[in-house]
Amino acid sequence: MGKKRTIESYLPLTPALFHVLLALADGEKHGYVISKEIARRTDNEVNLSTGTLYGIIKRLLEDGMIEESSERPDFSLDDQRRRYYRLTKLGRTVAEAEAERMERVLALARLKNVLGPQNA
Amino acid sequence: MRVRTNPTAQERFLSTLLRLLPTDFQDRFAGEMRTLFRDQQRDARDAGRFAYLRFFVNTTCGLIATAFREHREILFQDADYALRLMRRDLSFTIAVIAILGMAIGASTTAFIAANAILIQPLPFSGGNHLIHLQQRQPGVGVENMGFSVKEIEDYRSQNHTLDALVEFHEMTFSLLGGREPVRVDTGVVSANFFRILGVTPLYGRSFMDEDDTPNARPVLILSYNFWKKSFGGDPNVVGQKYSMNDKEHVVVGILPPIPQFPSEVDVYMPTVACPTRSGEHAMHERQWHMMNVYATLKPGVTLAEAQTDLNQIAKRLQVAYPDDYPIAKGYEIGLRPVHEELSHDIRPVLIVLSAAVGLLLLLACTNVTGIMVSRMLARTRELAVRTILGAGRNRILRAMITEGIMLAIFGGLAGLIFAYGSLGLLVSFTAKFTSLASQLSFTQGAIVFCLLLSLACGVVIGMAPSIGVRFMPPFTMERGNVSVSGRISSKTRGALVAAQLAFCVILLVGAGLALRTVLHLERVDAGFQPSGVLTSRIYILNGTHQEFFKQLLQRIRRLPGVESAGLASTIPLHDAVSDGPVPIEVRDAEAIQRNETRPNPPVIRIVTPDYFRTLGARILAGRDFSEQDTKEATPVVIVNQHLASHYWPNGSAVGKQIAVSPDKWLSIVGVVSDVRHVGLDQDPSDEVYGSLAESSQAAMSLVIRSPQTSPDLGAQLRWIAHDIDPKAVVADVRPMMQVRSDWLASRRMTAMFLSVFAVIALCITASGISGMMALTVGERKHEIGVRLAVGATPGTVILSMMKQVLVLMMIGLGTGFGGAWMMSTSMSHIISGIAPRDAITFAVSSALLIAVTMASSFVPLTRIAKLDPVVLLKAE
Repeated sequence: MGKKRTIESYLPLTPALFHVLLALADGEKHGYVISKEIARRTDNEVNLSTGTLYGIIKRLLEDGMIEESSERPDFSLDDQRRRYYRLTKLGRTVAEAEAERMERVLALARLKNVLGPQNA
Repeated sequence: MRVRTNPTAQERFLSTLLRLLPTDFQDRFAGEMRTLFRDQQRDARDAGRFAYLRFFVNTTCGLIATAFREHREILFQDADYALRLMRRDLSFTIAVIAILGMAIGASTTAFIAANAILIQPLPFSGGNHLIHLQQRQPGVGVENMGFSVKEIEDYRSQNHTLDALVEFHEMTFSLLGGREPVRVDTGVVSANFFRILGVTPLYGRSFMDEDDTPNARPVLILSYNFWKKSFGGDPNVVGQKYSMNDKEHVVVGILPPIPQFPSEVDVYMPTVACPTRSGEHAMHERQWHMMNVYATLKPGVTLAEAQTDLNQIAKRLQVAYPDDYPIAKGYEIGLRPVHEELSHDIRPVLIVLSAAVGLLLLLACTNVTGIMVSRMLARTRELAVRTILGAGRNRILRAMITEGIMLAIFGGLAGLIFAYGSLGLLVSFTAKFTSLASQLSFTQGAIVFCLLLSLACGVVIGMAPSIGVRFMPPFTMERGNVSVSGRISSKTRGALVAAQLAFCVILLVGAGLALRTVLHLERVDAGFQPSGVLTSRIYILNGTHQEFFKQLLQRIRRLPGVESAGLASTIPLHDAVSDGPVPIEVRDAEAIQRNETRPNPPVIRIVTPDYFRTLGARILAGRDFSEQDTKEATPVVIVNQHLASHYWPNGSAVGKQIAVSPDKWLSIVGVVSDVRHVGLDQDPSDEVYGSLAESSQAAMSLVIRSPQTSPDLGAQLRWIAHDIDPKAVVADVRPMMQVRSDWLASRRMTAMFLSVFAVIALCITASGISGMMALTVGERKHEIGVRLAVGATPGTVILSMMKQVLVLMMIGLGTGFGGAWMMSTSMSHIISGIAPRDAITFAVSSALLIAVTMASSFVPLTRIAKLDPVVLLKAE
């Protein structure tokens, strides 16, 4: 077993990985729903292909940021070949830390007039 | 419930891509990925053709990128794990790296030589199209008689297939104007010689057509080595003037370091500057053969087409000049690529050495595989734990291959250092065979070869232990029971030891044949006594040859301690100069009368009285030359025993007559014992010795017999020669023992290399056998304990285990003998005086291997005598 990692050691996250964590932030989902939500939220700017998405899922599982959910939908709606994933406590903390990191970067960008004033 | 349907073309495409991923990844996510792929494919199809195309591109790129990342990650994990294992078991790691390093290093060294000499094109742009033209007289066994100026003109003007035809001949002149007169080997070449080769001078310029016209200012180009040696690499030598042949010569260029051919020379001059080449005889006599001729083919012309073209010219010349090309002698023209010619002598040696290092590499890999198999057994519990934790067999196999590759890469790095360190030795070795030795260098190609070889070795030594894993049932591993794997592994180890014995015996036989050849050549009767003889080469410039040599001999003979002295146009085993064969006519020859096979033409050598006595050759019949054999006396010759037995097998040759030139009959006054002039491995050939008193020679080899061939004698010789003629050049002062030793050097080094390989092979094999037996004793402790407990003595247990070794040894020896039997004939080019399947060599090699096998297996077995059955059984 390796040494316990600090939250900072996971940062910065790659955009694709951060998007997967965000997609799972509001509940467990399977691969297709994750990819659809990311595409929808980013106006199709981020389209995760099969290989890319499951590469990320494998890494998040190994790092303990997500886990496979044992809860399944109603039998009539369920597809046994799909697996559902949800954020772990670590995953949520890392996502929050990444969001805060980005917020700090944005604040700095505003301070330096690289970005316009906050309007929302 | 879903109905299972046949996969679509797109799904089959995905399945193909999924195979790129690591097995563990596939096992875990392939099903989900297929489902996602179908969903995304449906969406993309609905979104239009462009989106559908983009979907496939993204999927393909994404999967390839993920596969790459996953494999890289696993590689790093496995490499990290392998490094930790290597650090943990440092003695094992060092042993494996040393064994592989030696084998990979030797293989890389062989590659450097074979690549530079046999594979790579010649290092001049025109070199690969260059061919050597040879005029042959098959009727009298002359392979290359050279070309005369007239013949060169004919072939140059009449051919339709050659782009250019250039000439080369070598002379030795004295170069004056430096610190002291130096004798320089001079290549006399056509003006376009270097242009045809594609060689551009390092400094200055090449010869121009104007340099090779009558009355042109004499010019010289220096070879790289001569420039470095004599002028310390000073580029300002270009433009300097030196005196040669009583004329002022200007240095116009310096050559880059290129392999020279047909021989290494110091300087080059255009043909017009050579007094001999420009003389009346050379310019007009068709028989004045002294030039080597090289040519390049016109674009698109094959060697066969050029051969046909030149054959037609040869036929025309034969018809036009019947006296110059007698039908009895035959007349042909041959073409030979220069690259082939330059590598001709070393090719068989390199092939044998490459085969030897190949065997050594196989042996090293086999040995290391054996060690890895043993180590694998020691790690059975660890592997079982990894299996239980979810590592698949492929994953474990992959980790093992990575470990093998890591070890081999470190071995390869050690091999690179080994190869780099041995480059100097390699150059000096190959230089004894070819001028291409100058091209040997540590190139990027050698590094790539070494790394690829290391990878291949790594895969082999990493995969072999997995044979045990593949057949090991999971339940066996979980219980930590190694009985199944142990049995398989034991067989594998036995096979590996037998293979090592087989490789080792082939190497031992190869080394034995080379060593026996050297021993034979050391003992061979060369026909002379080299001990106590000093030799040197004397060149004189002016026309007073006879007087100079006469005075020289008189004064040398008066020196204290000198027993005798003599001169000869060439001395035995001296490769720098040689006399050519000359057809002769013979009167009253018995063999010819009986129409037997006509002997090859004899070589004519010029000697002085006392030469034979000084050299240690014996006068078998008649007499030696004497001071009375002068130009005015009846012309006489001495023949060697070989010639005498050819023409007069039943009678004496003394008193018979031969003619070297038409109607000039010479009486044979003596028969001298055969001397191996060309090489210790070459049978004597017919020789005729003429007297220096009847000939004129500007260069002779001096032999002095004295109990002390000390440097003082050489110094005295120089002093006397310069006292008689200050411009005389005394070169190459060496004891005759050294001449003989120098000739043997290449054979000795070949034998030394093969012997070193064989010794290494023997050590590796011994360690392999010893290791296997130690492990076997360890594994069978329980069985041994039971046998000892029921009354068996340690001796009977040892004997029963030795039987297993004997079986392996018989298998290994039998296989190895078969291999050695087949391979020994390929060594025929480098062995001499013994048969390729020499029974003594085979017997000694097998005896040596049997002794080493028994000793190396017996030592671990002696542990049995120290085992206490009670302790053993209690431990179980």
